Amino acid sequence: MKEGDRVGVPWLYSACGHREYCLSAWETVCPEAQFGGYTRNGGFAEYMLADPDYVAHIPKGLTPQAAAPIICAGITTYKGIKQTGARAGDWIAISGIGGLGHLAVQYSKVMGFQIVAIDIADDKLAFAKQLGEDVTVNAKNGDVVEAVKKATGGGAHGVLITASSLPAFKQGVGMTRRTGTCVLVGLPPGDFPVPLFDVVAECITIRGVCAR
Amino acid sequence: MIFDRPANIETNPLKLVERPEPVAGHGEILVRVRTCGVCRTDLHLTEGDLAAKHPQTVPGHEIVGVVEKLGPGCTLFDIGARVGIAWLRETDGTCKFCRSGRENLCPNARFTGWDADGGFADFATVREDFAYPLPDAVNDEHTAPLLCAGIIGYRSIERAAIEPGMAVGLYGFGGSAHLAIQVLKHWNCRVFVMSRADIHRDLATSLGAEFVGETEARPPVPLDAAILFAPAGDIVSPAMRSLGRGGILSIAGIYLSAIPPLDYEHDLFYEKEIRSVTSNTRADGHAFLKLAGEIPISPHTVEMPLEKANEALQMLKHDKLSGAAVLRVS
Repeated sequence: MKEGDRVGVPWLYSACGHREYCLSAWETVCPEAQFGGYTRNGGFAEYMLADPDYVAHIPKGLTPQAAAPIICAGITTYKGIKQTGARAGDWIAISGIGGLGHLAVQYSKVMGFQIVAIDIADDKLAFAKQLGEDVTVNAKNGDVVEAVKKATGGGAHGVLITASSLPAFKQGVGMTRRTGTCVLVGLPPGDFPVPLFDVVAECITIRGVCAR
Repeated sequence: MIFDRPANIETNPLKLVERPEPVAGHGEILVRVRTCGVCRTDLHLTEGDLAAKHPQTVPGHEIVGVVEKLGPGCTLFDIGARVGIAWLRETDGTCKFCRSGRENLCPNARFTGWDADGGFADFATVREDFAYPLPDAVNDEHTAPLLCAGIIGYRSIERAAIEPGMAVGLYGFGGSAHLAIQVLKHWNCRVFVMSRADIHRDLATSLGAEFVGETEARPPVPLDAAILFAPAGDIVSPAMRSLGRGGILSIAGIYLSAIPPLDYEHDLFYEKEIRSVTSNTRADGHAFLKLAGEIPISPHTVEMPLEKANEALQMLKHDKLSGAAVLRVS
C-alpha cells in the first residue's frame, strides 16, 4: 500500500488471520471478524482507519460512484455466483434484479453463463435485458419455476436468490437443476419450506453465502 | 549452535556460542526449547548446499518448547504453554496464495533456521500465530520430528488425495514415510512399501505394511495413490506404472534427481497425475498434529544432547541413524 492509493474498505474490516476459517480462505466466517460501520467506525465521515490487509485496490476506469456499491453488493453477488459452482456455459438464474441482482447479471455475463433474470417488475427485467441476460421471467405471471425449467431445459445449474422475499427462496430451490446449487444471499426474516423429496431425489444443494 | 561458514559436516562446523537471550517482538513469543529435531535441510544448510540467508543463523526447525515470555500484543498462549515451532514461520497474508488457503506458496514466506534463528539453542522466538499448540499424548522427544517430517508426510497424503481405505504405495521409507504410514493405517488404508534398504522394509512391515519390496517391485494390486519419499527421479516411472487408472503420485521431497523420460502410454495415460509437494500450510500443521495425538503417533527417534549436533548431522548424512535424531536442549 502506498499513500495516495485509491482503496475500498469493505464490510469485512479485519479477521484473526490464523485460525481454522482464516487459514482455509474462509475469513468470511471468522468468529473474530470486525465490520466497518458496525464494530468499527465506517465511512459516513471524511476519514476512517482501515486494515491494509483487508482493503481492495480500486482499478482505474471505475468512477468513485460506480466503485462504492461494488465494495458490498458487488462482492456479495460475485461470491454468491462462484459458490453456485456453475461453470461457463451453464445456466444461472438470478432472482431479484435490484442492487445486487443487476450486478450479478453483469458478472454472470463476463463469466460466460447463460442467464435467466427473474423479478416482479417489468422495468427491472427490461434493464436486465439491456445488461445482457438471455431470458427474462416475470414472477408475477404464471408458474415461474416451470418457466425457468422450460427455458433452461430442466432448471438452472446455479441459482442466486438476491430477492428479499420468502416465496422467491422456495421458487429458487424449485428451479435448481438436478445436482445444481441454489445460493441464498437475500435475508428476508423468517423460514421457508423446503420440498425435501425433490431436494433429496434431485441431489440439490442449498447453500447460504454471507459474502464479505 | 551456529556455523561461521558452511563446511563438510565431518569438520564439525557447528560451534556452541553464548548469546544474549532473544527478545520477543510485537506479537511474538519467546520459547524455552526442550527438544529440536534434526532434519536433512539442516545438513544442506550447514554444508552450504542451501545458501545461508544471514551469517551465523541458528539452524533447527522442529522445535518443541514452552512459552517463556510474551511479546507485546500476544493473546494466544499463556506462559508455560507447550508449543511447537516449524519450518514455516511467516507469510505475507495478502498475496493470492495466502488469500486462497495456499500460504505454502507465498513468495514472501520466511523459514525457521534459515531466515531467522532456529532451535539448536536454549531459546527461540516466533510469531504467536505461527506457533502450534501440541498434543499431550506425544512427548517432547517424539513430537519434534512431527513438526517437519510429519507435517510434510501429511501434506503429501493430502496432495495425493488419499482417502480412508485406499490402496497406497510408499516409495522410500525414511523419517517422513514412517510417520505417514501410521496415519494411513489409522485410516484403514492398504499400504505397500517399496524401498531399497532391508532395515526400512523391516520397519515398514512392523508398522503394518501389507507388502514390501524393492523400488522396482510391482505391488499386487493397482494403487489408488502413491507418495515418492526417496529423492530418486528414476523411481517415478515404476511408481506411475503401479498406479491404477486415475491414480495420483505426490512427490514429497524438496530435491529429486532427474526424472528419466516417461512413457505416455504406460506411465501417464488413463489420467494418472504427478504432483509436487511444497512446504505446508498452518492448516496442514494443525490438522496433522491433532491427528498425531489421536492416533497417537509413535516416531522412531534417537535422542542426543544439543552439544552433539555435529555428530547427529554426520550420522544423518551417513545413514547411521535408526530413527529421527532429536537434540535434547532442556
